Amino acid sequence: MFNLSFLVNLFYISTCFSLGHYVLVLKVLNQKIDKSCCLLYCGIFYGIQIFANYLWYQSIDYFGVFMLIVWNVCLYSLHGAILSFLLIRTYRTKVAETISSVAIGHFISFTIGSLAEEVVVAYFSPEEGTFYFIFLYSLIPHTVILVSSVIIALILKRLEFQRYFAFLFMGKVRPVITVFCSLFLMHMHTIVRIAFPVDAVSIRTASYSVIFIFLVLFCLQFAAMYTAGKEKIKAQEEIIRQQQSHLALLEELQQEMRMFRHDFTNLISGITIQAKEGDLTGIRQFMSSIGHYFDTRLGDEIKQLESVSKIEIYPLRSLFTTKIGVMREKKIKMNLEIMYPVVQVGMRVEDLIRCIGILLDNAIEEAEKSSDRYIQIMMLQQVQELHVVISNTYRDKPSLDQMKQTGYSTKGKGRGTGLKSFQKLTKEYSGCITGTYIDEGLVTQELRIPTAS
Amino acid sequence: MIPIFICDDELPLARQIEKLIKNQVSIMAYDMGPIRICSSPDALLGEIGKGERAIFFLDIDFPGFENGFELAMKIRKIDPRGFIIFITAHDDLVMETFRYRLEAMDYIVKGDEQKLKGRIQSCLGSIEQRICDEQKEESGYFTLKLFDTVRHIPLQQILFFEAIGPKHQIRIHMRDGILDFYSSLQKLEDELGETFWRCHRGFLVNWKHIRRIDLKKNEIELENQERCLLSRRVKSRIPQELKGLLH
Repeated sequence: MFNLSFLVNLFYISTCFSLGHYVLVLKVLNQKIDKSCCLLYCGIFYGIQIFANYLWYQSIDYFGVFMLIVWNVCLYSLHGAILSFLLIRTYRTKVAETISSVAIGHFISFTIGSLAEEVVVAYFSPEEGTFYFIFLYSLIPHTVILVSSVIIALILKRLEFQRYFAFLFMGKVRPVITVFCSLFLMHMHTIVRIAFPVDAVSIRTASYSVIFIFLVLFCLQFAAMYTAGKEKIKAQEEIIRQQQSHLALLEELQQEMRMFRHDFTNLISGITIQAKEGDLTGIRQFMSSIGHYFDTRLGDEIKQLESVSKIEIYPLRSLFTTKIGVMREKKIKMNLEIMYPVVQVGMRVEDLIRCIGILLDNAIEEAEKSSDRYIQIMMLQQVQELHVVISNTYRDKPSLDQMKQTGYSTKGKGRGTGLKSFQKLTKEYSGCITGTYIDEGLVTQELRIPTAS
Repeated sequence: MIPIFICDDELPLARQIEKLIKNQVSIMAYDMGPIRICSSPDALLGEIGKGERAIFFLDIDFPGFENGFELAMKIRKIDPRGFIIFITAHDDLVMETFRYRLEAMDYIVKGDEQKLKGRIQSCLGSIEQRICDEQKEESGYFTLKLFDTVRHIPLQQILFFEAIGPKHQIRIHMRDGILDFYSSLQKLEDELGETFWRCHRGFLVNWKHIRRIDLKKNEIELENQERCLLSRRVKSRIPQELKGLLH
């Protein structure tokens, strides 16, 4: 039984299946292919297959139909578990997402395989044991698996399936349901096939499974789009909230203006008296102090507001007004410099908001603990890039090396996902340049985003 | 001698600044001069010698013409390492933008003569200091083109380069900062020459900053306790200069 041709055949089958499965899962998760991880999985898969086949042929006589189900379920689950483990270790993907995508990937590959096999069986009936038989029954279906898995993977990538897929894992209940459903799908074939054996295998039964795949994919997409819509409404509510805080800022400025007007009339009446008396030195003193007074009293606010209104990407403007509000509340002094209108950037606006939001939040958190409480922000729109620089004072000098290591936070273990996702986001857009500097009591984060993606 | 340019459309002010600079240069015997006054940006751009390093005192706003920022950008194209100091009437200008984009040094505020004098003194002092430091170092700069700007990082500041991520992303580890950009280590290795040593496929290290080499752990420790990897292939051919650091 275990001759060379069998091993070669098994090798081919395993490689096709595991490779197809791997590619499919990776694209569902929207990750880059990692050679060593892929090789490891294929190797382990082959090893397990040899071992499993050996065991199976040893004990085939004692096994009934029920045992067959258990056997297959265990085997597939083992493969799935191994791949999930490898993926989580290599890519640090979320557990629920990984398990589901592995299960769904297995379901798709397996369905394609059985469809191909059944088509072959329906049309040809070669003698068992010949090369022709092996060619038809194992080589063709598994080649089909590999090819169609790759094609499906590419299509899913094109459709940006991952973005929808991720919505299925928000909250606490959804991931559990999704994982269970996908695990059920993974083993559905085994259970259905053995529970209701079809003697005369026909193309019809196979086409049902294909239709089923499409239905499932469609439902997934639909469910995901539905949840995405909900998220959108939430996001819009958030924008309304931010607009309100922008209004509040404007109102505050108006208050200041009113008070300033009051002060100003007093000051002017004072100087009028001085002028009447011919007190030239007094007037001179007044003139030199008034400029300074104007600058400190209103200059800062007007400058900030002017800068904010130069941001023409509205969600970003809202973000800034909200954060400026927070800084005021926390008594953090702030200087915002925006020379030219901020109009375009080669990054999805949601991601831009997340990136800059993370930087601002971190700056606020650090500045709040420091004694000087100061944040300095610069944004400069140029033809090729948007240049953002955010600096803040700190209490304890942060370590550069640690800050860049994923998951660093001064807040202790388990926190600090902010910087981590910031790095992940900027890496997604090639061309983004990031920098971190520490000098003169300020820690500075720099982000340069190309205008064209 | 490093030439000084003053560009301001108010002649009396330009003359005043010139006088203050002249005094300071002769008192401290700085190697600076001659001082030239230009009344418009065009005149200034016409006078700058290409490739020659200079000190610039620029007015921030010129009526009816581009602002000082754009003028300074043009100057940077001609003289990437000159010293730029802005003259302004009010102190609410966008100094941070100038600092980050133009590596501008400082700004001086028009008006009170005593303050003006103090500011000019400190500016010239720090320029002199910087020139002195550079001559001592002799090690030069790593020029990095980021979009349409060029940044000069003194080689002295750079500890090592690290390849991160699959898309040719490179991280520079500096004494007081980290910068991620896109390039390839091979290209950097060719460009930077001998000061940098390719100790691993993913690392290019400035050997002047190596503190010790740990052969057991295959690691190189730098002055600031950061570590880079040492590949087995390279281990057998450690340069002579570094033999003293082996552990």
